[in-house]
Amino acid sequence: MLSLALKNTKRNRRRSILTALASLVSVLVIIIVLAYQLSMVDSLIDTNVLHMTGNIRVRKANYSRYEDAQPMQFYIEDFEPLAEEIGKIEEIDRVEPISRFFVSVYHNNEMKKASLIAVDKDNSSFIHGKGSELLAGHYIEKANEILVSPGFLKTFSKEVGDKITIVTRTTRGGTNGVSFTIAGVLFANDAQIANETIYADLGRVSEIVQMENGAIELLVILKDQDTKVEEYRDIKDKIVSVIEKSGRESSDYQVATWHEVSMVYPFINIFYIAVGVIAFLFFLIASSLIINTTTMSIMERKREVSTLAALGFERKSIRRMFIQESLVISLVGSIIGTVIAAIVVILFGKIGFDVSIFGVEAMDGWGYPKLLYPHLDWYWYVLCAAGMIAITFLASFLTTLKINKIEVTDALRVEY
Amino acid sequence: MTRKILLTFLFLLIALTGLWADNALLTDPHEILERMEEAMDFETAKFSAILESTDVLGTTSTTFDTWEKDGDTLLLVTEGPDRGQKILRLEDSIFIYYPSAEEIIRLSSSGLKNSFLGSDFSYEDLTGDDDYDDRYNSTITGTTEYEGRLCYDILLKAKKTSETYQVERVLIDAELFIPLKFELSSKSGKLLKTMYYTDWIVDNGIYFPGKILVANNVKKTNSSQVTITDIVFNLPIDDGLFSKEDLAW
Repeated sequence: MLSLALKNTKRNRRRSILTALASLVSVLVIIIVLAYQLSMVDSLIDTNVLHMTGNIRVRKANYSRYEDAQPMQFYIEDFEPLAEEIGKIEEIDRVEPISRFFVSVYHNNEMKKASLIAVDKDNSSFIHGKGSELLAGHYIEKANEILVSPGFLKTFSKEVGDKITIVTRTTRGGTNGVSFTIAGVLFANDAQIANETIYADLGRVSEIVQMENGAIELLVILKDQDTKVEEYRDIKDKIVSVIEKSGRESSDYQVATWHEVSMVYPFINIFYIAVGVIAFLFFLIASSLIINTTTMSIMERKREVSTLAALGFERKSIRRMFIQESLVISLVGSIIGTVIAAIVVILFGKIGFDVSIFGVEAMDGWGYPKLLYPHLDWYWYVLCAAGMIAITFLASFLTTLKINKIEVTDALRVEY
Repeated sequence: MTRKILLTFLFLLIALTGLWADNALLTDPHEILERMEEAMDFETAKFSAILESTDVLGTTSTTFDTWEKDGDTLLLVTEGPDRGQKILRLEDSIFIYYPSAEEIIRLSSSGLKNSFLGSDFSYEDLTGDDDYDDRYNSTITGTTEYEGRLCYDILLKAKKTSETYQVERVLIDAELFIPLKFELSSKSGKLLKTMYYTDWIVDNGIYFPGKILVANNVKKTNSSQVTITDIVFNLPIDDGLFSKEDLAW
């Protein structure tokens, strides 16, 4: 029966190609959509951890309490020894000190708001890490040099080498103004920090805002990014212990995991559910195509079915033949679809994909990347292809039930 | 004899009437405000002061020198975290010189509400235009005794929405015509700050508060105080001192 099924697939090439195309396109679309969506969620987690909260964030409790008022007076004093000690904890890869707040840029006799990110100019992942790229100029070399985002240059009509003057609040509630030279343009692959942003050296900014070796927060990055939520408790306890040993009052500090403070985390599961729903919908569309083409096939081949039945073939065997036919076509379509999808995903994984064409900029502030480098684990390819074949089996099984209802004599009757 | 008594009585009556008239309470708020401005009027002044700002974290102390002439004001921060900053008030604009900035920053009229050196004083509070009649509609709500002094209770309502304080209640000493207390409120009547003028310095008939205390009625833990340590009136001051072009020098 299998060889007959294989022969049949060649007999009506158009129908076979159509069915195979349905499987191919379905698998292709499902894999690409999955790669896009899952990579988006991964990037969202990455950028939030790397740029917003660290795996664990250490800051003054009062800073968090009054965060809306940008209470810069609640900074971590003399952060360096504390960061160094925290960095010695086994599970921790590094500790990044950061001060991030809004400043006013003096432009055309007006004050315009911009975001200032003050980090270690030589080691910060904000400047030198994954997703960050120097588009023009050079990195910060002198105290009064800054890097700016491409959006900043556009908004303030500036170029590399130009000077800007910013006015900022100080930790004592006053204001201070300082002029900086734009050393370079930094692209950060993170929609939440890609607009009017200034990157400056933490040491210089601490002087300007009268922080005295201070930083607003320490972002703690773990060695293992797959650390389970429940394992974070131990690491947090170790950090609290380091704070206490340094002679500081631990109750003055807030040590929080990214799960606790990220506004993105509560939505991660919803994102995954959305991915599942989208995949399910595509499978549904694919199955309807399979049902349609298989039904057409049976209807067109009523006489053939009846002949086989008249020759003594069991209906069960005939149905099996049709199912095998569908499975063979679907298998070929799914494999080709998977291969094409893998090529597409790997290609865009290397060159990147500009997600702004989907209006993702509207989600600025969430940490979506501007450029997505899609990737998908191998088992997703297998699962998608297998899922497609399973859907084909189910669809053709249900459709071929019609074979049982075909009346042999009616089907073989020749009308003149 | 009778004539003598009558003349003496008449003389006494005239004298008493004059005395009464001199001590009579004024009913025109414009006149009261005008006399208050007269009492504190000077051509030029140069003074040094200490600004102490207190909040939950403690007290910060700053000293500054001020020059005033014809309504223009220049402040130079001489000690404290903001040392070297210069603030120039010319009409409705504030120009700020920061030692690390290569540009002079101009604050428009809305910037007058900003905090002065992180204190509870705004630029407007310390460098403001004192011509109340031009800026406010005034009414007398009565008299009251404050710190043992009889005071006029004047209510001021801003003529323009751009005024930092839309409603002010001022207690003005009924004898000396000097303001003792200001209650500064928003349009809705929410009390924002209370300012107390005390330790008055008197120099050749010019009155000047030796101490100004401002209590922040919104952030109740915050207060600020300016204490004058040295003041000279009507000394010659070069107009060039109030030039924004020369602020960086």
